[in-house]
Amino acid sequence: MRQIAIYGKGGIGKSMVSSHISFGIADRGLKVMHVGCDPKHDSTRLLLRGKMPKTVLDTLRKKNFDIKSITLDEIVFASPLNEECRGKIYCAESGGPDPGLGCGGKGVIEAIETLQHLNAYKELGLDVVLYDVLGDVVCGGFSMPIRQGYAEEIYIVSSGEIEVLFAASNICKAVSKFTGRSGARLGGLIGNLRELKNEEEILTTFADMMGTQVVGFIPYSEKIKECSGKGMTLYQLAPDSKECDAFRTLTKNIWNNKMFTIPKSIKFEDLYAWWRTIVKK
Amino acid sequence: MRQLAIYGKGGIGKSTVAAHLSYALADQGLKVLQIGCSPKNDSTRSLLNDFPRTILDVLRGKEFDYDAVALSDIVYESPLTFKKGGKVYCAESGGPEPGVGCGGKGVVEAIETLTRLDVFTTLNPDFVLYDILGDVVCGGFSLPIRQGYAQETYVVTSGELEALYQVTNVSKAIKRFEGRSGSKLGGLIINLRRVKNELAIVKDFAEKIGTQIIGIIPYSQVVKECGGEGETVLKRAPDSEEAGIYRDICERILINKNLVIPTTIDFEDLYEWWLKYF
Repeated sequence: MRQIAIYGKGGIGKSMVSSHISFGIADRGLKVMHVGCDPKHDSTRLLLRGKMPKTVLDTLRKKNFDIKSITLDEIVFASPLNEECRGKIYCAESGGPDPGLGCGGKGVIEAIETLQHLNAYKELGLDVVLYDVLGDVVCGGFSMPIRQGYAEEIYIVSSGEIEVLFAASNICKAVSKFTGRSGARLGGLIGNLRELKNEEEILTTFADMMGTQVVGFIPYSEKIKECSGKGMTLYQLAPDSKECDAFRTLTKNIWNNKMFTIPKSIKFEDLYAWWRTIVKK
Repeated sequence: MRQLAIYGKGGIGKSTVAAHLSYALADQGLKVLQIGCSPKNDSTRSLLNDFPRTILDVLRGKEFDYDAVALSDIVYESPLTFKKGGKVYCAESGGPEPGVGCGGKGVVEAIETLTRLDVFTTLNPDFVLYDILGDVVCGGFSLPIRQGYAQETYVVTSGELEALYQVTNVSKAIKRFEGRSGSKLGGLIINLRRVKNELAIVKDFAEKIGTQIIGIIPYSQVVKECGGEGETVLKRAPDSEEAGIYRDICERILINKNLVIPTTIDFEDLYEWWLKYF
């Protein structure tokens, strides 16, 4: 079983990207579980026809955190897209804290522990687990898939914007910090373009600086924005579009990827100085 | 002294809005303290032309010995010249070491350290602006609301579902701490992202939760370019339409008396409603 984590800054499109990866992998005839690890709990929305599932944390709260009284079907939901897909997609959402109280990363920890407790990966006979994780706050909670070695492969969704590259460099630091104990490696960057000047060059050079690669570029596109409004992936909405092809290529590159590295780390000041020279070109 | 919290989803442009607001307030001859409460520590970049050392980094360097920290270690005055002798002071909370610890801890530590050092009486600012990540409204990131530091909260949003969701989370936190903190919602600042029907969406949404729209910022290459250069449009393009918009927002906040406890909406209902626009 392959376990993959997709990290990225909030708003960068990591749920959009990871939903397409999940569908693309499942369509190879495989069983995939997509675990949304973002308090916003909308990671799996495109895979559930726009519906938001109950979160693991909400279900746990309702049962006073009595983990033994929870069954798998209360927290894992089969995708209705399975009818049009060669494989199977299962969805789970970690959830987050009650607004204003508690810890943001707790949902991630509880979700993964509950899934483990219920033996979800064996029960469902999964080939792939994909964690879609918020990367703004690389705290103990949100780094759990890396830290505990649940995810052996990490991909980071990034644009060429400086804040986004900074978030990416933080995620790289977490990977190199825990690689010894967890075995987690960086598989590459996924470029989600935002119409910035020299953006592909920025991302390719940045990847090089971090000792990794770019596994795919997703163009800036109105069509992709429609997915969110309509609650479906491009595989349903516009399977023949060039955007959908970009996702196919990306999924293929991830699936065939052999380049897993311990990323280098870079100081924010150096990153910023470099970034300024490249955007000015 | 008025204390304002500016919340927003990561990437929505809240630091840009906060920095412009601080700039515009200072241009009115006011003294402003802007506290960046996002682990990314770039809230005050366009005011300092640089990234300051974060409070959490300074504390780490001194092994969390608060008595060894001086105000000048963590608060930096902007080198920019403002009209009428205004001033901007900047501080950045910082965040956890990647992979360990708590994300909201920076916010908690930053505010506690600043208040221990009597920042408000020492600098005597007219305005304090907390620029806060709104993606994870946990105990840490909700501190300015919960403890009543910020009596007024403004949320930067677009018409995107995730951005509106984040507004409902901040609203829930305000409502939850209503009794003890006195913190209220002052309005929404729209940062347009070229979503279909975007203005109608956010206007309708503001009405639904019982608040107002304080300003509408167009999607703009000028703002993007200035951001890339690490500058505000108020400094780099003071005569642009965008600069005028930021000054208007500042004016409206200065006279704003419409502070409310917002109506809360569950995500499922928000989503059903939002879908109607497509």
